This record gives sequence, C-alpha cells and structure tokens, in this order.
Amino acid sequence: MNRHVPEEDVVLALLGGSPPAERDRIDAHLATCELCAGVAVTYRKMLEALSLPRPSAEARQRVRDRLRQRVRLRRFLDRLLTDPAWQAEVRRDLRGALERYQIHPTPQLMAALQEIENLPGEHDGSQIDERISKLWLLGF
Amino acid sequence: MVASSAPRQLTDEELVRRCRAHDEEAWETLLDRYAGYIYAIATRGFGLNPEQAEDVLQETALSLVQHLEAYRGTGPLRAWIGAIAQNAARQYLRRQKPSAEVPAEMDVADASQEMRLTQAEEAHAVHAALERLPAECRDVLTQAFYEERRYAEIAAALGIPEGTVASRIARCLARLRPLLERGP
Repeated sequence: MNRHVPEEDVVLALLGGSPPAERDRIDAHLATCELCAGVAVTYRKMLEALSLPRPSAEARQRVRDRLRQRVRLRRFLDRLLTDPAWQAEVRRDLRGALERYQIHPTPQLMAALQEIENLPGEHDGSQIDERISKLWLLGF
Repeated sequence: MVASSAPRQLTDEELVRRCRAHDEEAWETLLDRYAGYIYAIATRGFGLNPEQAEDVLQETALSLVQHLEAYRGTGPLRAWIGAIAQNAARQYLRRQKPSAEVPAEMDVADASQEMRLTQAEEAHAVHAALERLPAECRDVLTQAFYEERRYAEIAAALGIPEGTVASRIARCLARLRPLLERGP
C-alpha cells in the first residue's frame, strides 16, 4: 500500500539524511502522490530560503558597531537640541562630551561639530538647530 | 513607558517605539531581525557580491536611523525596510558604474529581479518564523543553515550523537512549517 510519508521523513530525505533504500522508497512515493510531492516542494523552498547567503558574523559586527555609533550620535544631538546646559557643556569641551556618549571623534564628525562649538557665546537657539539639521543632511 | 521585555521578543511596532527612543539594544535587535533580508535583497535582487552587499547593509542600517521618524506604521515594517534597502542598492550601483552601464531602472519592471526579490521576502518570512521556534530548534537550525556548521560541529555543540543531527533538523523544520503558514 502506498501510504503517505511522514513529513519529517520527507525533510530528512531532502537533507540527504536518509539511507539510500529509504530515499528510493520516498522518491518513488513522491512521484505518485500529489499530496506528499506538495509537502516536498514546500520544504524544498524552505531549505532554499534558509540557504540564501547571509552576512558573515564579522560583517554583522562591523555594521552593528557603525549603527551603535550612529544611535549614540542621534541621542547626543537630540539632547543638544533641547538642553541649554548640555549645549554649553558641548561648547566648552566637545571631546569630553563625545566621550561621555562613547562616540568616536572621527575627523569628519569633529569638523562638523566644530561649527557648534564655535558659535559665539551669545547665540540664537535656532543657530544650533540649523547646524544640527545640517548634520542630518550630511548623513550623520 | 518603555517596555521592559527583551527586544528579541518584541513586535516590530514595539521595537520601532524603542528605537525611536534611541535604545541601542532595540536597534541591534532590529538589525539582527532584518540584516539577512537586506543582505538577500542586495545579493539576490541586485546581484551584489558579499563585500558590496555589506556596504548596502551598512547604508541601509544608517539610513534607518536617520529616517525612522518618517515611518508611519501604516504598512509592514518589512516592506518599508525593503524599499530603503532597494534604494540603497540602486544608489550603490550608480556610484560604482558609469550611468550608461546601470540598467535603466532596476525596478519591478524586471520580472526576474522581482522574482529574486520575492525569494528575499520568503527568506525573511522563514527567518521571522524561525525566531518564534523554541530555543532548542532555533539553535540547531541557526547552526546548520545560517552558520553553515557541519553536523559534527553541531553535534559537539549540542552534546548529541552526530547521527541524530539530521533528524533533529528535520523535526525542527517540521515545526517551522506551520509557523510559516500562520504568518507573523
């Protein structure tokens, strides 16, 4: 009698984990049973999806590090927009302020932030907003 | 109030809320959840090599930080991230090649590309379903497929006989299928 093959056995055969005789038996069944053949197609697609290339652990780590820096910078800049005491602190000691947020002071970032640091003592709050907006536009 | 659940367990909606509050752990979870999808879009949908795909992944991740405020939540987060990743891949290609060499518009007009992008969607759906499996199944499938470990290594890591690894994978895939059919 041509009984349906249990799903796990179909998957095992697709994974190459079945003994040859068992594999032959399953193949013969799949050739004649539409239901089990459909199950096999579903699993084949699932295995293909699982086998698509993924970023290596090293690549993921590199991206994660950049992402973390960017999130810290957003937090730093958001505070800069709303906290006058923090604005004064940043203008007094930019490097120290970045350190407190564990942000690496890359030359590009330092150059961009220097504009905030160099604002005159008596400045309009909107000047900070303008400079931060510029940082967004620069992609920080 | 910020939810206290581990970010891995959060829905996309909750994750977005925490990301908007600049929660680093939430951002890393978001990246873990979608990195494979973005990477698949770059490699399958746009034929980029691993190094190029990493650049696209990075551009997309940084773009998400910059533009998350603009996500209105009216459609699935996956679709929104997918669109950003496709844009990042197109921009990458434009930067790399003289304009004449870049296909006019690597868009949905290209049926084979659409099919490849669908594969990326499917891979993401499988990944999302895998995240909902119990830990013992998630571990074995992650090791077998995402980390491409050999059965001997998996057996050693899990402390089980090598001969039982394939059947454990089969059992876990059988548990994955209903989750996949049920959807998120």
